[in-house]
Amino acid sequence: MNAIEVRGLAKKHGSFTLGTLDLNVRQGYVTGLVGPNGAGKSTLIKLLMGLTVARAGEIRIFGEKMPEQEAGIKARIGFVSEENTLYEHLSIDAMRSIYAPFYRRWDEQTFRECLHRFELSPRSRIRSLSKGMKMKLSLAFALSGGAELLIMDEPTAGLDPVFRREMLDILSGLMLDENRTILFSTHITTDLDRIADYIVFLDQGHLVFDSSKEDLFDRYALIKGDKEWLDRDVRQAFVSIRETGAGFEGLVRDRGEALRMFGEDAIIETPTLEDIMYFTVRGERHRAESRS
Amino acid sequence: MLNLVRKDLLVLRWYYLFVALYALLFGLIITKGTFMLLGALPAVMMLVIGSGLELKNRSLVFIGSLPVTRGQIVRARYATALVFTAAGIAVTVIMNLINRYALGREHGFSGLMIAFIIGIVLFFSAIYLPAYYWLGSKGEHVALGAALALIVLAAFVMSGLLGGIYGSGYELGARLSAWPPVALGGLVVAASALLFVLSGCISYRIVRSKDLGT
Repeated sequence: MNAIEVRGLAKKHGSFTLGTLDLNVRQGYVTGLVGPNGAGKSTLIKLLMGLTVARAGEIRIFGEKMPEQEAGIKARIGFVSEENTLYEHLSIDAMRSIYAPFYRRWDEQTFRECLHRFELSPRSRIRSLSKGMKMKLSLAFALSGGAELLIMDEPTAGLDPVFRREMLDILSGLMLDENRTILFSTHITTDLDRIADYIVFLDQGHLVFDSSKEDLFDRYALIKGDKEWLDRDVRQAFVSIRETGAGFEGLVRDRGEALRMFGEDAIIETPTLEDIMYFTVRGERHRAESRS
Repeated sequence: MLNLVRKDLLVLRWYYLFVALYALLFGLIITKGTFMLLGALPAVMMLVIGSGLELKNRSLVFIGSLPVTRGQIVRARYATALVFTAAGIAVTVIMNLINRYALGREHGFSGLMIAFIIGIVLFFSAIYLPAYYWLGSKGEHVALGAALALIVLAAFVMSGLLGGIYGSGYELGARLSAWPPVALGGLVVAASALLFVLSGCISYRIVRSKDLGT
């Protein structure tokens, strides 16, 4: 079952065009939205949240249409923005008194527990908090509203490694509740290696893949070998290739075909998400340059 | 929608002190010729400060993520403007009562003055809010400048009208002085209310098709 279904979604913003996109976010799983800077991750998240108006397409969340049913849908979503959008001059407690009445399922005990866990004092002014603390506060708000779906835009960006790890642990803990779904964008692929079940990869506004992490690691392969093997036909089998003085390494989409092509001669490894992202973006850029 | 109005009021919590100080200064100490603006300016100030805080904190993104519709966001902002108008009138009435009964001073306070306060605030809101939603953070100052220029013009004209009615204003004011004050006040309130409602419709059309927080 899908928490989010996107069909034919398109958006134009200045010279940037997103889409046309078709993708699903499965209920009960963590989906990582990944892509280089400017890929359209934040635009997609804003479209999902109804913050941005689509040029075309349809978004359904919990089976209901956005933005037609937006108030009801957003009551079930906890949103964490990339940048702080809370009122900086207010204290945490004052912000809570503004935020909580919007959510019928607001759980004061959860909020207090989150503050305690995140070492946030209700009397602290929001402007006095570090970026990491503000992100934790946003998360505390999102969790206390009884959200079934958490949508987070770059929640780990700009955080130090300790904070980042802690944030990911918190998200992993949340997934013990099987009804909860998390969609979060990042360009730090190691975050996804840790907690994501599904990966949606965007590049230059286009969907490269929407797939389970296991499936990706089963399908893709990183090949390392001698440059002499790289004839025209072989090159075409690769997403892209990086050549060095010692040889080459390249990404293929079909591990089986790579095995048939290179046999035991080449080193065939399972790529990391970063490898997949790097070679895919590099390949797209190279093809775009060749066309122009 | 009530939660959004409540939000608008709570966000300004510390700024009410400035309004109180302003009311004390211009309601009790420097009172000459300021009584109409005494009510109108705090309402305008609160509306502008609230919008400014929203832009400064990029809070339209926060508001847009709440379980509310865009229509509710716009309606709430206009409802808040009405609350501020009521607050402005309350300040004027209270200061007038203090002046009259505690300090023994008269300022020509009347129902017509209240109608003009309503007129100024609604007129300002009707100009400022669509410009605010349309121009966003990039043009907040333009929106504010244009609206303030218009409000000063409106206040000037209304002062003229009041002056005319009390024998020291323009010819138009003198002519309008023939009108019963209830009719003139009603005309001012009705015209500004009509503009206010039209403005609300325009703001909704702008917000409906706009990316929030830009």
